[in-house]
Amino acid sequence: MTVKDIIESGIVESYVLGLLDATERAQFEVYLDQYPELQQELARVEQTIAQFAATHAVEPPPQLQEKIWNALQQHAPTDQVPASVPSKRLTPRRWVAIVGAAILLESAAIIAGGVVLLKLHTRVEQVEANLASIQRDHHQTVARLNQGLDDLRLLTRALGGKALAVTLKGTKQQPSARATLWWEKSSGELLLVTPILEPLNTQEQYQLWAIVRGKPVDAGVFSPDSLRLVYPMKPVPSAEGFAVTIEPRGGSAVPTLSRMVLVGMLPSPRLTERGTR
Amino acid sequence: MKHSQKKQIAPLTFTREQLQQRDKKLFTEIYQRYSAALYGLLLAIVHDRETAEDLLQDSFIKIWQGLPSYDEKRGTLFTWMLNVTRNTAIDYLRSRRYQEQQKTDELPDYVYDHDNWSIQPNVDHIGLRELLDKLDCEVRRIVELAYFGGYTHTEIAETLGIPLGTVKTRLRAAMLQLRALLRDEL
Repeated sequence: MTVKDIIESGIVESYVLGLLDATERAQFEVYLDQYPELQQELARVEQTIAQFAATHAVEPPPQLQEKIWNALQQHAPTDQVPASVPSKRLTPRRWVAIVGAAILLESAAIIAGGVVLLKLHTRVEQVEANLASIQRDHHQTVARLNQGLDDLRLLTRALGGKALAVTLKGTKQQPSARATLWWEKSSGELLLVTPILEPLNTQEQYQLWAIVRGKPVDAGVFSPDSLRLVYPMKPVPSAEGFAVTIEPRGGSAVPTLSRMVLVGMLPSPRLTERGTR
Repeated sequence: MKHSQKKQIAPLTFTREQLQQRDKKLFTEIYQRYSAALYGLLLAIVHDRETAEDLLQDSFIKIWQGLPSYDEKRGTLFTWMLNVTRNTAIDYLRSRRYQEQQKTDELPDYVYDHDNWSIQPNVDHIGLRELLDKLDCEVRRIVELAYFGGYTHTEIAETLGIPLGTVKTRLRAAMLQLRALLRDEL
């Protein structure tokens, strides 16, 4: 798929409007990291949506701002829950306030009951805190599972087809570095699988290069992530070999050869012929 | 096009620290820049001022809690806030629709107002009505379902009786038409 195909499929609009499921979203975000053109298109679609939103903007009543700020103060910042996890939170404070008022109106005989309620309140808050942490874990687990499924789908497709495996070996820079490329020559599709590389600082990324008629051609950047197995790279129709270098985030036009960490050449056709003779 | 409609929502950018801090200054900036757009969207979806005010508060609570996990690489703050707000409104509509269904199950004779659940946006706002009127009919339906209705791809495909793949491409056509119309306006 080229960037043009991706854009024309309408996926950018669906992404901005939050219409993609987790797998589609993860796939799109991989593309987003890969193609600056896609980031530009994303910015354009977002701008259109913002302008569209401006056509139906209505000023809320003036007192609402203070009311909302006060409501935010009640929801203490300690109970952070990822926004994407729908949370069905209890509002024990209001509940206890109502019950508490009723108790005051009744007699002191029920104060003992009030103590129980306060204890209950504390308990509810603990349960709530636990729930928030479980939701956070759940959110991460789902993200990991989806990542795993994406990886599996890509790999199955590569292995089921006539993809060629190219082993990349570490250079003097990182002697223990390893990676495998699955390359589908007919479509040019290129998957980088289980790279073993040293972590980089946030200003740097690894960049894959295809060596085409002796010249390096950009095949995309990636940042190793211990949770990911498969990295879809830019399609490459033909190459004699591949190499990985460390470059500033976003990649370079020309590889920094002094920081080459992985390299792997394909057996040259002539050698293969000689071998079969 | 009238000059009064030349509007735009300029993006705000904050540092990670500011977003983590979540003080009153940050709230005031965000609220003053974006609340009218979010409130307008809620009004268009729920057709009721009081409900829209409650939902704006609910949305801001979710936004406030979610701010530390907002990722600027995945889109602007406004788009993210818009989606949190839309989801809040859609959740509200769905739970109300569910309650209505429960009610009708209990009381078979009870007739409820189907129009309550139409996803036609409330187009009291002149700018929005003019703009929607200019869209092609089928493209307009997509905008109404996806943007104001919070319908999923599958639901849109079923509602309009079109293939799933067509939904995305029509959504893109809608966005291109909107982009062209808005460009004329600005």
